[in-house]
Amino acid sequence: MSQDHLSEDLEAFLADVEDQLKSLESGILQLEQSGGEPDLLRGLFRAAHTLKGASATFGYPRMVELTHLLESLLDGVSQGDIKVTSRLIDTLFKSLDALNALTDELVAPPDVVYDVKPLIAVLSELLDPGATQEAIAAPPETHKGAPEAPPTHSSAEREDGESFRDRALLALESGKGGEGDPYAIAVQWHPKCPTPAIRTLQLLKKLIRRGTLFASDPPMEEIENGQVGHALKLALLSTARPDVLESEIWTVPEVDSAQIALLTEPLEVPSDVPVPTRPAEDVEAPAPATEAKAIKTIRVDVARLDNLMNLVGELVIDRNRLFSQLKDIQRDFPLPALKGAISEVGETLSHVGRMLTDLQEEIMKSRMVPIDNILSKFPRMVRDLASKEGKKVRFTVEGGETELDRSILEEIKDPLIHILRNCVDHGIEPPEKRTVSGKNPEGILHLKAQHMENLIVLSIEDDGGGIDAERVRASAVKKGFLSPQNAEQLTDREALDLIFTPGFSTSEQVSEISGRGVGMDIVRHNLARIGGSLQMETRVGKGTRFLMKLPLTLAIIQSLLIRVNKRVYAIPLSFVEETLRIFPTDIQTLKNRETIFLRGKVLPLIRLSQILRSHRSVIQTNGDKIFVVVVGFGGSRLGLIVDSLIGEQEIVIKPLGAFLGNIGGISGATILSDGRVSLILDIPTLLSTVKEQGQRDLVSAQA
Amino acid sequence: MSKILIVDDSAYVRRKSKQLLVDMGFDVEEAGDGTVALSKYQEWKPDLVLLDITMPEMDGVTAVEELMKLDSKAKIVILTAMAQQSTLFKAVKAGAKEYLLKPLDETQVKEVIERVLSED
Amino acid sequence: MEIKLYDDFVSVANEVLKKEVKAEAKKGRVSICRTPFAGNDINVLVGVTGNIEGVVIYGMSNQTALAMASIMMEEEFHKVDEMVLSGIAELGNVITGLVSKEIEQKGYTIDLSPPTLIVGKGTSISSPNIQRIVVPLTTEHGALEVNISLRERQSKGGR
Repeated sequence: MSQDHLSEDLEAFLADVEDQLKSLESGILQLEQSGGEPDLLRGLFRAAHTLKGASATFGYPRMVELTHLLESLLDGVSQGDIKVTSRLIDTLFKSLDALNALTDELVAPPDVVYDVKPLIAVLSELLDPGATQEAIAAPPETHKGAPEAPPTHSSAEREDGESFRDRALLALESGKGGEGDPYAIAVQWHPKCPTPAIRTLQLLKKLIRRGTLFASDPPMEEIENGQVGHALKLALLSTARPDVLESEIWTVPEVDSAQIALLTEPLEVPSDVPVPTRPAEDVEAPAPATEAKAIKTIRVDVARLDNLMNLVGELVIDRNRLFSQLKDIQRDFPLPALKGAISEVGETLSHVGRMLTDLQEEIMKSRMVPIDNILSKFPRMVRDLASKEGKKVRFTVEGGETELDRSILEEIKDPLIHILRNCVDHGIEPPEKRTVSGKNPEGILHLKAQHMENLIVLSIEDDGGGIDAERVRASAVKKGFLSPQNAEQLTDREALDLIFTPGFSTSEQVSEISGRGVGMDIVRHNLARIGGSLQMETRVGKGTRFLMKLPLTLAIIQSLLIRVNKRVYAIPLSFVEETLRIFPTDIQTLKNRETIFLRGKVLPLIRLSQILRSHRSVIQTNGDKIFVVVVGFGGSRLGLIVDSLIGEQEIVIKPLGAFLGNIGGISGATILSDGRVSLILDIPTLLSTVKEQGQRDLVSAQA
Repeated sequence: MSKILIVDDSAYVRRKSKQLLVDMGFDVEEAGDGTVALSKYQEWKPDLVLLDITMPEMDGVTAVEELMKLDSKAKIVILTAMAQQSTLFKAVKAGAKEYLLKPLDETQVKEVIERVLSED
Repeated sequence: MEIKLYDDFVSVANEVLKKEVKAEAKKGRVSICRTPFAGNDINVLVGVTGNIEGVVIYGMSNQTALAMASIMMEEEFHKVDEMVLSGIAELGNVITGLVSKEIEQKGYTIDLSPPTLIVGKGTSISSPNIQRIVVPLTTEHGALEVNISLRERQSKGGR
């Protein structure tokens, strides 16, 4: 078969494979935990089968071979011929790894390709102990003769289930009538079927002998012209029983799925039930209700959504600009004759504003994906980690359907992995130790996601040993972060917060926090960059809980605009604690650093004009009051001396172009309502830069 | 024993498919073009017709239409190298029951012919 | 465009040859010719119309045709007769048909004429304005030369 697949084919294939691998993975994990439920086994078999079909269609022989054996193996398991043993589970996991490796090869061809032979030998052996050779020699069954067609999708394939039903009901009411009950039928042709148009025709010929067709999707004219994709919906008035009709459908070759229900009893889920974009297992499930979910979702290129978001962002900026221009007009031309017109324009603008907000929200919603998308990889990871450490961990997930902006989802993946690793590595004790302390030898690791107001809160909780504040203090002193006296003064909370200090958690195990190069400080820092936060609660002997708070979206933030050296900068409002006006004489120099006393505490100051490396390095200190923005993050606070405050504004974040590279202290850019570009200050990085400069002890620890 | 009429302008295809079908236990006759096929159909009354879709004299779609005129219950299976999907579609629309991909595959031929023969 | 097409031809022809004449085919040097096709002993010509248009000619020597037909029909042939020719024509028909299926998957519409046999060297067939890609496929029974003169129709393209 041709190697010159269009990249679209590759994309479609990869998406398909990804879905199936996900459902395989969760299925295998479930199989290990709960044994072979018939439904589960059938689901696993189906996933392997679909993978085989997809890889054959795509023309990927190594994958075909592997999935063929996997399919047979899972078939054997679901027939009860093959027992579920730990060896089987391990082999299934290995197969999953192999499939992942094979998939990766398509994206980035490696120097040495993955050798499937050893695994194939194991699979064949499991399939038929003693007959390994034969099994290897037997080629996987594929459609013979003709190269297989990649799946083609007509636009009609994804029509909303609801609207078809409505249309069919309408047609039924206005129709000439006939005998029997009205049925809604949904048929999916096998993706490999090269001639869905012909199969559809054959099906129609059979069904019209059983009743009257009164609606179809695609419409009858299109079917007559052969314009049919792999999905088909029909409405049929028939006196035949549904099971009779269904078996009639299955007599047509290459049916992949068929559903039938009374038209009046919805085939689809009711519309008021939220329909999240679900991973593949639901699509694979045989129940009609879940099939409907699949029909109701479409795949959209993320770049397109990003682009939409960008466009709306531009519109928001324009709207803001129009507002300020209108104000200018009002100010510069205070003519009574204009007053009415201006207020009308103002009203229209407000309406445009509201519409834009709605539009923004809708687009934002469409960027939301259930957190399940990244969670699905975690059970496997936790399992592997735990077994490596000789620990027993039961990992449970709650609220996987909670939705988050896609870009945030990507940003939190690594932090989550890090935290989960910590919990398994250092939180949960070995089984013996747990037994001694009267706990269940199996530790519990619970991840919960929930939507709270404008935030998403993820909690990761273990019932392990907890973190001892005393030991953290000792370690901090030993590392020279604190003097023994300072350490004594810290409350337990403050002491525990030390694990978020840069360089702290990459230490030895005393901190009870995994030292894998990435410290907890980086985790917190990365979360802060996207406007999130991380807190930790721990009780010695009882366990530890991490709370991750995340914004719903990244694209639009509330910010405080400030001016420094005639340039406007934006500070995300989430970091702003307060703004002050102080006299230059209030500033005291302590250890070469400017500070002020704020409510009895020392607050270090920095002059943004210096940090931002502008040419005018000295600001006027002629006795007038100066502006200070107090920002805080991760227990540290800092006063930023700015030239003036402009006000709060909703800003749309634009990533800095590659040509700007990584500018220290700047996290992005936005366009202001007057059209000027403003840079967004990266507060966490600013704070840590200040710390690294050696004035760490001057940045007051927050009480 | 079911009777199958093979209609193809290619002597090679007729010969190969005849071999295949005789081995499967069918009673087989051949026709080299549509006109011969029509008269053979009336006279021999086969249970199934294997019909090439691209023939120079009378094309496949016309042959299907003519056969259906003779016998509205005729069971016709189209032979195609999938060269013209649109033509194939027309043939099925005109009444052909199924199609078989060339080069012929024994298992597939058997499955399709048995299925079409068993349908009412 | 041309490169994609000839890859399809090579892989499909390979598959068909494997099945029909039980032989692996090896691809020789591909060349692009602008001169008219001079013809082999036996030539199977398949006309192509649709979004993709032109002609595909499969050429081979008498010996190759005899050897291939003998395998295809499990009978020794010593003379190029009606049966041999019809077998070779079918070979060209099937290869082109299956390739056209591939091409249709890429979003083009395509129609094929029934195969036309041209027997005898010295026949000159030209396809003006379309370059001819010659792909020699060598098998143990001899060589099959695939001449592909196809182009995307100017007026309306594919997708």
